[in-house]
Amino acid sequence: MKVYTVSEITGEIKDLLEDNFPLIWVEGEVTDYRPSSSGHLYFGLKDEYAVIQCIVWREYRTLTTVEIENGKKIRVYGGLQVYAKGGRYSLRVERVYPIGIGELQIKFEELKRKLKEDGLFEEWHKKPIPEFPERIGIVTALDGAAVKDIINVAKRRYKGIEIIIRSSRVQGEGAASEIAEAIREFNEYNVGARYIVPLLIVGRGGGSIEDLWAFNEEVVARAIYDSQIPVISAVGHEIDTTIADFVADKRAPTPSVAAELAVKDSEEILEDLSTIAKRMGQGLERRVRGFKDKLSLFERSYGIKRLRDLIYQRWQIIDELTNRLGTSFTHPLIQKSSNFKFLVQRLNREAYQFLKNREQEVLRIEGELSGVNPKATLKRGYSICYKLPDKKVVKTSKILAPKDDLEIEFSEGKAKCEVINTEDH
Amino acid sequence: MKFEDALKRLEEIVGSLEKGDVSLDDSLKLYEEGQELINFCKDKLTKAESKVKELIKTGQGKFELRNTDKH
Repeated sequence: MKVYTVSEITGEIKDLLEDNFPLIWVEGEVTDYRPSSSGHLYFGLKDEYAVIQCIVWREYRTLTTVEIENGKKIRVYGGLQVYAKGGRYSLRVERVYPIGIGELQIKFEELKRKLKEDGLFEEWHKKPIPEFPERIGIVTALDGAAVKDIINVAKRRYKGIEIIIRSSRVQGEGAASEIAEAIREFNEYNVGARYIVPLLIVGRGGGSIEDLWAFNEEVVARAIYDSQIPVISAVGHEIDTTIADFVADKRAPTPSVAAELAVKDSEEILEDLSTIAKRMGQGLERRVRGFKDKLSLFERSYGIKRLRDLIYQRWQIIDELTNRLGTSFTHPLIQKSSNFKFLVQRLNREAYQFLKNREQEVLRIEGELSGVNPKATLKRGYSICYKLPDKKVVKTSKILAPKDDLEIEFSEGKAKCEVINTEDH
Repeated sequence: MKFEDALKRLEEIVGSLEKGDVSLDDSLKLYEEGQELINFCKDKLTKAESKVKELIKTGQGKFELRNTDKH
């Protein structure tokens, strides 16, 4: 009869359990959850007929993808361990997942964790998206749905957009490395190119998690991370999030939205441009007005008045001298005085000319600016329509109804009218 | 000139015209430059024609931008 010591039999049990169940999946409901002050988590996992004790060591806590709480059903991954001194066995848990998680999702979570640790999702690494790219590169299938959407949206927003496609398979065996290669090729192309491709859209249309899987592969993530060209990811629909989305410099929920993020709307820019034109006009107008004020101040200034007085006084002296000396032009003093006369005339003329020139410049600028004045527009044959009685300017026929009274202002004169009917545009 | 640079320059011009820290002559020059830039941008936005090309790597490892008839 074999008699074991307690230690011996416990050792056997330990070997048996730990060797046979080094890593297993167990699903159950959390009970008696006890987070300890040391950072380890203790809880039981139960079903209708049994309970197993579980421990999450502190260093594994960050790897749990769901919050552990009593009553919650979870799936855990780990190995059995025997605590000889306490005579207990328990499950040493390394990962905690929500129940029903598929194999691909687990792969996804694992890669996400790994790449996050490697710093691939860091904000500081993300490159800014150029504001007004005139060309964009696309990595997707040449005959897929995404490319059509991107082209349509991009063209609608900017007529001059140049789109460069590097065709790549986007699903199935080998698709991931093709996508990665395409991203690298765009970067290679830019080296020494006269016109570089300043922005990439990488993506595809919607599909199942299996269809989108290439965008969850590490090669694609690394290629996006290594790309010198900023990348917008555009995979599937709004609800699909892929690893590529985390690495990309910007994530677009769909390919169409990617095109919107990449290409600014010309209409908006044209509006901005007219605002800029207006602001420039106003700025210059203010400047000219300021100068005009200064000019009139200058004309009225003491210095100028003094100069004028001085000139007149000299004139008087010269006139007196001339009278006294008679009309002999040979006299040296007369000679001097006519020199002086000439100088004074010149000075006067130049001061006048200077002021005249400035004034003309001011007038010219004012003329240029008056193009902005609505009343100047009237002179070109347009008219302004007001709705009575409150004299509101009519910009749309929608605010009008038959029998409404109108006033129309022409360049010369006005007319009162009544609306017969309206037509919407 | 790149569109982006033109817009950036325009913002600068508007800035100094609004601040009024330049001489009248320079204001005029800035105003004229601004008008030219606005016309340039408008032309770019309204007169350009879109292109769709394919990036192809040839056997010699060179790149080509080939017109595509698919789109």
